Amino acid sequence: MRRTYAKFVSLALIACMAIVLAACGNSSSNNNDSTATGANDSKTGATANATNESTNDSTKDTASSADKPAEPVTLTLNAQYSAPDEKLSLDYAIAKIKEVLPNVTLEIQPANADDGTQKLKVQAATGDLPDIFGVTPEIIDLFNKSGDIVQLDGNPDIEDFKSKVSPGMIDSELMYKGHIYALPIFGSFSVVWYYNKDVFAANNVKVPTNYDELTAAVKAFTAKGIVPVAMFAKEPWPIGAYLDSFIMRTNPGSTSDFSNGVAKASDPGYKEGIEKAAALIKLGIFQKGATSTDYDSARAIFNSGKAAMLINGDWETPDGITAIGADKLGILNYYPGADAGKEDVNKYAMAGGGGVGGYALSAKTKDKALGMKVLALLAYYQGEGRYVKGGHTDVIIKTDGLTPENPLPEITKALAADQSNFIYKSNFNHSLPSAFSKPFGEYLQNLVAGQSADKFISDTDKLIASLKK
Amino acid sequence: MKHGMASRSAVLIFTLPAILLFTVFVMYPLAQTFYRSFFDWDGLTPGTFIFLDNFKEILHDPIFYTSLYNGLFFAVILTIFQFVLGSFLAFALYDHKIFGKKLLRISYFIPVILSVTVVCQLWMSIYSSQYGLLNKIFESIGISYRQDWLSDSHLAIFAVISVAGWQSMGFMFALIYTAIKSVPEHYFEAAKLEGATKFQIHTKITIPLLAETYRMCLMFSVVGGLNAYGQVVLMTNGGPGTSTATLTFAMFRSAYSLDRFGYGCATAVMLVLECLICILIINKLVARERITF
Amino acid sequence: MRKTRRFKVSNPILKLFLWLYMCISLYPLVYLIFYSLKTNDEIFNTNPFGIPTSFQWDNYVRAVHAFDVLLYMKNSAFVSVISVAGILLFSLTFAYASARMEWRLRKLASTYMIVGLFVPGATTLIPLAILLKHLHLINTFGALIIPYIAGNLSFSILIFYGFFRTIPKEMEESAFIDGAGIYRTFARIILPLVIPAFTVVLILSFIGVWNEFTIANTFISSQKLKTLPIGLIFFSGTHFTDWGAMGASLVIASIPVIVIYVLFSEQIERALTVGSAVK
Repeated sequence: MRRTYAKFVSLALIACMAIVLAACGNSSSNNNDSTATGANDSKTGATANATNESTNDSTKDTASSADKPAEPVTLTLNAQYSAPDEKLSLDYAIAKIKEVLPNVTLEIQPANADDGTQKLKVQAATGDLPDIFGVTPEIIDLFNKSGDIVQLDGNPDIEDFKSKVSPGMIDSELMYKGHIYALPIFGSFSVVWYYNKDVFAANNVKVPTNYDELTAAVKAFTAKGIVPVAMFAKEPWPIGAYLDSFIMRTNPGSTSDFSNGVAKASDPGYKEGIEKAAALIKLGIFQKGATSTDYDSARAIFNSGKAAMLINGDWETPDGITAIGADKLGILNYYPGADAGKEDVNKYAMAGGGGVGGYALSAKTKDKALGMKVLALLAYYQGEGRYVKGGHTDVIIKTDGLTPENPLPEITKALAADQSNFIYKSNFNHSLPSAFSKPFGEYLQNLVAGQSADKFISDTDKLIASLKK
Repeated sequence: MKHGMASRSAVLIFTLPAILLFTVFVMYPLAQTFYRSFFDWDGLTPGTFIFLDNFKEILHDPIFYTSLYNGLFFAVILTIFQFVLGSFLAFALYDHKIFGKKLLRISYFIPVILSVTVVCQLWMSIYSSQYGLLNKIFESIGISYRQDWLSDSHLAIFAVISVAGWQSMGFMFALIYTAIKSVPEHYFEAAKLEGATKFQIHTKITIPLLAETYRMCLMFSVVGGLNAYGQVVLMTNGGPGTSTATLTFAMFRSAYSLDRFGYGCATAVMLVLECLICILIINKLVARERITF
Repeated sequence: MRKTRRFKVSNPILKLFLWLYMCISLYPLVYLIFYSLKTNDEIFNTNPFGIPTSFQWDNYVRAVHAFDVLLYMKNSAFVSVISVAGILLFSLTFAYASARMEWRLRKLASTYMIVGLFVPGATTLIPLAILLKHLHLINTFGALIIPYIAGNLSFSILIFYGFFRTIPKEMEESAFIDGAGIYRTFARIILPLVIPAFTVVLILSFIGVWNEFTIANTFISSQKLKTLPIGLIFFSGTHFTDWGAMGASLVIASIPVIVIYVLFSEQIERALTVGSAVK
């Protein structure tokens, strides 16, 4: 019985000791590791060592010039590092950076795809931002106000990167309010309508080029129990892109006109586009339960041949080819949203786009010059890696002179050939300012869930009006 | 020496650590949240003091009302589901000689152990209108009723609540079962000797004796329902649209998606107030006398 | 002694229902294990509920290689054990004091502590973050352990409070008559009586802490200190998620919890039978 008491007391003591040790123990072990750099094991993607504190100790001597980085330095990087293509391009970039700056190690903090900004905001509030992190325009604005982000223009390494960017994208994606705050990897994504040639052929349906043919196709497919378009409406952006496919034929500015307050949903052109889109939803263009279908599920429906078409960004091509074969995968030349006879009007107005964003530098980083140098190298080489290793043409850097490892598929080449004509007057829903895009995304889901076009239009108009104030 | 049960020093030693930790790490941040609800704050830069404007806006916000109703549905259905099923299973297991009682007992609790991610993943598959189990079952019975369980603005919330109820039922079951087992056997024996049926025993004796436990469970299920968040995010992300939003979800939405932390804090304040009212009501109505054996 | 009437008719149906519900409860575990052995396509499209057509063991290989599973598990174990110890210790003592001791602010104090129930951990994320920063706890285990303890106190106190109220007052009185002090009484007489509740709280808080994600994700960036739920991020990319490998790591993460549960539920059973006999 005495044992119970003793156990009780010792438990208490252990608990107290442990808490104290835990708090102290870690700060001392951080100091111990300051001399080790550790290799960046790209296979496991995580270094198991030094953090920002060690950078303090080791860069004290390297203070002045970034031209002679003799001491080992570690920079923390918050980046997407989960999907195979992300790992591929980032590993490539890190290897290249190692060649140029052998003493610099990049420690990756993988970003959580679902809510990467939540953690960043908390880290900013506590002053713990990683040295380099991914940003969106909203974060740029937010962090500018709070002084957490560094203005990059003027620096020679940054200007060098700028010279390697496709000229057409400098103003739309690199410059933001007159300055450079982030270096993007991606150029512009186009949203396209993929289609399965076999499914069309087997059901004797004409590949649609205008609205009437699309309506006919939808009716034909639903009669045979085939999903006309697989849609992952759990996320709002593909619905936005779907809507764009109709509105852009008459008004290329589409949803961003709403966001900017220059047009209302009930204005001519926009209204008809919305009604066309809504009519097809009522005819059953999407699979049942679209609003709870997520990205992978929708692609699975298309890849297994149960759907005739899929709306997605053009990054889908390599996966689509792997799934159904290069001979079966096709991309509709232009959005089938136009009225018959008007197929050529605004045919190059594309949904999707690029937008400002990319890697930015923390204002609290120890050596800003070195940081910018690494940043420029990182953005450039990750873009190069994405093109050369992954075969994606959606990078922002100029790709002439670079050869991809595997020959590009035909449809990618066809799309790339048209690329110089594409106009992006709007953007992905999530790239629009969130005060608009969050509620608008919710209205989009309501539309797919069966709400009437009229309610959608009136809700959107109310939103636009409330934001104008 | 003062009577041990009222000894000042003993009381302090027993209560101070908990109170201290709790106050510093829960109440103080909560107080901060309350404070911030009077501001127009983006989370990073100093905000502007706008006093009750956030609250005025909330009272006009349709999403607030949707969340309020959803929270109440959650609390009510969760309570009924867990109480009824949990009690039923606990009584059944206690009363009857069943082969493999241990296995049954252990397995009822398993859903509680699983991470909420797994449970939601499973149920999303079951609810799926493409190949979901539920619709398949209807198909095989020959009913032509189909449903887009998670895509229907009116039904989705109930689908989500069922998942939460199903997962946490095991927890209620464990508590009730443990409580029944703590009731000394002779109470039941005495009643059996008098010729009472099982049903009578349970309604007249067991349940009243378990009032304390039920009160506790009631608090958990009501508060848990009002606070629900994880299942909502994973299964529908508040959708379609915002039809399955709960107050916690609305709070996150304002704070992190719209960068309106002050407004999010105001939502949090409403949530805490709502829970407080419910707890006070429960305290007043249920199990006022101390019950001992 | 007369036999009590048994509802003979409902018995088989009852048993059937009990067994059926058991299957429903166990199925998610089975589902998870299958899930971890399927390809992405099978999970979503061709075969969501059945046995995997071919066992994708390399889901496990990928899971183990994606991040340092052993390290994360060690961290999770450390954090969970310390947190649960703290939770049990502090909530037990507080609940006892508020349920049975006499002091003026008793009712107020217990209502005060219950307020914590309403506050989901992540509601107060930013103020908590700033507080932890001032205490220099960010990126240490303290940033997890202390909030976990503080956050779970309300819940445990409530459970213990309920159980304490069922113990007759006479218990302490008889001990005092025998000359025991308050601490002795608490340790030797009262504690053994609440072992069932103790074990229930232990299991529940362990599960809560082990699976916790939001706080662990926000306050820890150092690789050395990450806990198991964080490892799951490694599998979802912006557009693509490796569900199979994620399932594999979920299986790996669930094993300790199940072990703890099975072990301790034995304890509960035993203690319960003893406890009610003693009374």
